[in-house]
Amino acid sequence: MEFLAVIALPATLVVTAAIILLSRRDLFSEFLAGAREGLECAIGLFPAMTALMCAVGMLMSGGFAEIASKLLSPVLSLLGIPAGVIPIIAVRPFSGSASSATLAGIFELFGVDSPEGLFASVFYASAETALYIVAVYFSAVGIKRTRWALPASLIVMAFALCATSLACRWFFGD
Amino acid sequence: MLGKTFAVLTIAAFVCAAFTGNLGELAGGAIDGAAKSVTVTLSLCGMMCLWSGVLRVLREAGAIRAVKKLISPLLRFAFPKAWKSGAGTDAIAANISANMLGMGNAATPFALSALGEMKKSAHGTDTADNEMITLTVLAVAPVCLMPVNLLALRAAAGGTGNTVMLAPIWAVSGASFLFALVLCRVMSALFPDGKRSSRRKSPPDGPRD
Repeated sequence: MEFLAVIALPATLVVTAAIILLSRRDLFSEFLAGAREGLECAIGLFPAMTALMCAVGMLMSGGFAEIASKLLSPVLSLLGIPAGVIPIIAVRPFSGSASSATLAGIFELFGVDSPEGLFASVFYASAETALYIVAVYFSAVGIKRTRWALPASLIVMAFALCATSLACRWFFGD
Repeated sequence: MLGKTFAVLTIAAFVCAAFTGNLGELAGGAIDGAAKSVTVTLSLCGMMCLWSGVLRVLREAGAIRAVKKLISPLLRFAFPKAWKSGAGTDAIAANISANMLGMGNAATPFALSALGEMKKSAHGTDTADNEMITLTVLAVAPVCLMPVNLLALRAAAGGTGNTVMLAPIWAVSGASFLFALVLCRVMSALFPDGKRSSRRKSPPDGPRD
C-alpha cells in the first residue's frame, strides 16, 4: 500500500510523458494550454484566498481554539472523547496549518502514541479543512450561493469525529 | 458566500479575542495570514499548472476512460446528472482517484476543472447545483489510503509503529466517505436544484438532455 502511494504520483507523470512522446498530435501544446488555464485559475483565487487566510489568521490568533474548546468540551466529554484532543477538533475545519501545529502540540504534550495522540492522528488524517475546500472550490468557478455545502461538510466532519472515537476504541482499545 | 464567511470569521475573531484578552494579537494574525496566502497561492500556481496540464493531456488521449470504468458505479450513484451528460466525468474520476492515492495536490485542479464543466452544463448561474456540492463535500471526506502528511508529522515527533495507523484511518475515512455519499444524495433529494435560486439565466429546471 505504501508502495502504491509512493509510485502513484511519479507513475502519473511518466504515463503523461509517454503519451506526449508517443502521440502523433502535439500534446505538449495541450499540456501548456491546460497549464495556462490552471495558472489563471490559481491567480484568480489569490484575492479570495488572502481574505480568507487573513480572517482565519485573526481567528486563530484571537484565541478561537481556546474558546471553541471550552464550548465543545461538555458535549465531547459525553461522547468519551479525551479532553486533550478538543483543540484539534475545534480547529480542523478551519485551518490546515493550525491543525498541523495543534497536532504537533498534542504530540508534545501527551506523546505520539498516547490515547490523545492516536485519536488526534486518526482525526487529522480522516477529515479535511472544510472551510477552505468549500470556499476555494466555489470561488474558483465563480459560484456565490453554496446552499447546503458548508452545513453538509460540517455534518460529515462530525460523523468523522464519532467514527474516530469508535475506531480508536476498536483498534487501540481504550 | 465568501463575503459572509469573511464577515463572520472576522467578527468571531474579534469576539474571541475580546474574551481571551488577545486583542493585541489580531493584527499579527491578519498580517501573518496575508503573508501565508502569498506562499500558499504560489504553491497553488505551480500545482495547478502541472496538474491542469496533466489532466488535459490524459483527457485528450482518453487515458482516463479505464479509471472511469473502474469507479463507474460510484460515479453513477453520486453524480447521475453528470454521468448522463458526460460533462466533467473525466475530471471527477481523476479527482476521486487522486484523493484516494494521496495526491491531494493533484485533486484540487481536477475538482476545479470538473466544477467548471458542471457549471457550464448548468448554464453558468452563480448558484451551486447539487452535484457540484456533492463533489465538494466528497473532497472534505476523501478515502485516505495513505496519510502522507500525518506520517510526516508523526515521524517528526519521533513516532514509531506508523503502520498501526493505517487500518483505523482506512476505516474512519472510508466510513466518512460513504456517509458523505449518502448524505449528499439525501440533501439533493431534500433540496432539488432550481427551486431556490433567483438569479438564474435560464428557465427553471426541467428534464435535461
